[in-house]
Amino acid sequence: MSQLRLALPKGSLEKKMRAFLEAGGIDPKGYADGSRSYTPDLGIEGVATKIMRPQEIPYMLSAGFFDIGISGLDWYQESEVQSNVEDLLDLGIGRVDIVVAVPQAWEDVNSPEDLFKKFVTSTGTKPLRIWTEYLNLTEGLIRRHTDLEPSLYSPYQRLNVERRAASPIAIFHSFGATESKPPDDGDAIVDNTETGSTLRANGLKIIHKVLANSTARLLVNRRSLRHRDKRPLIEKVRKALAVGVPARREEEPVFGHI
Amino acid sequence: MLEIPPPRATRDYLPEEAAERREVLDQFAHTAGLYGYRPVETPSFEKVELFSARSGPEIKSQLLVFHADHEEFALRPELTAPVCRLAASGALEDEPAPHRFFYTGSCFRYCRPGSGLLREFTQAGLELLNEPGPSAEAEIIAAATRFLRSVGVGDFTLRIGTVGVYRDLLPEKIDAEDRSTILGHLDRLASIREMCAQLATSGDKQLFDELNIDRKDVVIMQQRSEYEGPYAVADAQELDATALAERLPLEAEAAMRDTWSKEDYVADDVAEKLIAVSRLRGSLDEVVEQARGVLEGTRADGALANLLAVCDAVESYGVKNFEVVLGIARGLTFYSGAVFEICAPAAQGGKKYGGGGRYDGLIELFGGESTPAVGCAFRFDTLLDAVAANGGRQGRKAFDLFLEADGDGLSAARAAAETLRDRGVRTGVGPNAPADHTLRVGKLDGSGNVVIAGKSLSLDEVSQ
Repeated sequence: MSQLRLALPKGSLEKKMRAFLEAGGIDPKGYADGSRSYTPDLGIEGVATKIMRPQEIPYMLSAGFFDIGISGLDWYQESEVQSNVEDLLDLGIGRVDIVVAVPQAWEDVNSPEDLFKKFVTSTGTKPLRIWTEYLNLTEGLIRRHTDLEPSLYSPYQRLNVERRAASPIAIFHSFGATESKPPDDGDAIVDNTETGSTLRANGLKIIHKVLANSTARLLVNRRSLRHRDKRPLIEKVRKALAVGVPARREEEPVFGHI
Repeated sequence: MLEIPPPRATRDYLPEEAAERREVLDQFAHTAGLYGYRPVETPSFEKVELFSARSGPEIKSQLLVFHADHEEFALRPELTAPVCRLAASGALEDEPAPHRFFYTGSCFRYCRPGSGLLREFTQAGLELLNEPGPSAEAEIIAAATRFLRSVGVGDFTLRIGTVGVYRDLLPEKIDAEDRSTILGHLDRLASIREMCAQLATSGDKQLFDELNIDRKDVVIMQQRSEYEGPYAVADAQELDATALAERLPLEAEAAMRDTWSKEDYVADDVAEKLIAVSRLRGSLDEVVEQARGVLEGTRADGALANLLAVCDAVESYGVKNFEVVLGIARGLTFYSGAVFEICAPAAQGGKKYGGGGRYDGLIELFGGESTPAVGCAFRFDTLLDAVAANGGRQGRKAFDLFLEADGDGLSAARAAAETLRDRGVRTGVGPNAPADHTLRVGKLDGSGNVVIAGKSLSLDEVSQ
């Protein structure tokens, strides 16, 4: 019988995730309990679990190295794996917004339009420097608001013949502490935030939500979902997790008259 | 073999049903025309921002979204925002104001699989732009109710209220987020009250389950604010339907009042007034009298006077059978003044057919000039069910007359059929009449007359 490979997130989600699993009657031995092991035991027969960084989980699922995993909606979208990884369940925990933030002092910049206008149409030679871990989401934002192709500053650009040609907009690949870059080394950031307080404490203000309410999701490789032996195991995990999802009535959409 | 079912949560309409839908839509257009409303058409999809501008990007999860040229689009979930975009664009400058528009069309919303809702549905609506006075609301309500009667749905409940009292009770300088939280709570409270009233009369199991889910939310709210008092949910056992219908609104009120107080959204006396007003319902005179007591000395006097003027105007249209409900559960963040909804009577399930109200701020939000606006829309599919339940529009057969002919007779029959069609007779030709779709069957005789049930008639006689 083939095993189901499950990836649990390491990092800020761990504690909430553990409480979540417990609520579903799963005791995750070796997960968020001070253990140094990367292979916790959920006690579900046929399921092999490993702890991975949430950034890695969506594309590991897409590549078929894992069958099922938990990561944020932000990394699911950033990884652009929608074509073969399904978003099966919204766990409703670990809520963050992915936002565009700029220095508070910029009173004339209150939307992405303002930001791009400030840099792109001005005649200066300095590009707009945007720091982010979310390279794809940021490029999408730029493409939606301008006709420009951004340049990219990253240690990995030679791997993928990336562009460094002078563009009025440059994406800088951040490896953390993104909020510290502006105003000296950057002009804007695209970053995740729970309450916005870290951003404010660093002299930044939010001008746009690129992705609102990104929460933890149960993600599944679509091929695994069709697999005769794996499917019942996936269903078992999904059911166990669904117990912990807060009850929520379908809210009336706030659209138009009716 | 390739098997392709229709997309999830959509459906097909076969001729009989489709014909009935078309007829009712035509009737809507006809009624709108009686009041001088003319059709507008807008694209079936728009930039996502048009729909997220008011409600925030969270709304995207309820839309069907796609990308093209790196831009994000959504199939329209409703038609008011597109009409407002049109008005804001300045394209109406050369049109005489006030503008009276009607529309009918498909709308699209994402809904969870298994929710029983359709992802594509039809809306029919009216919008009246640039008419500030209470006669605007009254005209829209009159047209909407006339339409219902004209399609045989004369038995309905009309409720009129106003969101103006809430807007004016809240302090002018309240934080925008606090404001929308409170309005959201009041909306929720109103819907809980409505459903509880419904449950008390029907005892419906599904309603009971839904309300128990609402109750869980109330529990969470009470826990967050650490509410302790007579309506703490924790104190109560599981309730049966009657007890739940009675107690849940009070539990929800307590949770909300406590949250507002502890989060310091509004002063306690304002909170008290908000809740008190949201409870009021009854005849116009009753409600106005009670509301005056609550609102005396507040800015909300004006909103009440406006409601009175609207209701008076509605009555002058001969629409007298309505209830005034101040806690009406209608988008408090969408509307700016009077609001109304039209539902099935409680005994028939109380489903919402449609609703509307005044939304003065919307066109400005889309970059247009500040424009007074009133409108309404119908959930066409819900309404269609009611039309059918009330006996329906008489489905017509496909052919008034079917000329049976074969072999050598065919070509003469075809020519005769064309002549009959010229005169408006829906005519079929072929060897065998399809009985279910045919009103009368005839045959040509040698002289070019049609023989129907043994009687020979000339083409002239047939077409009469």
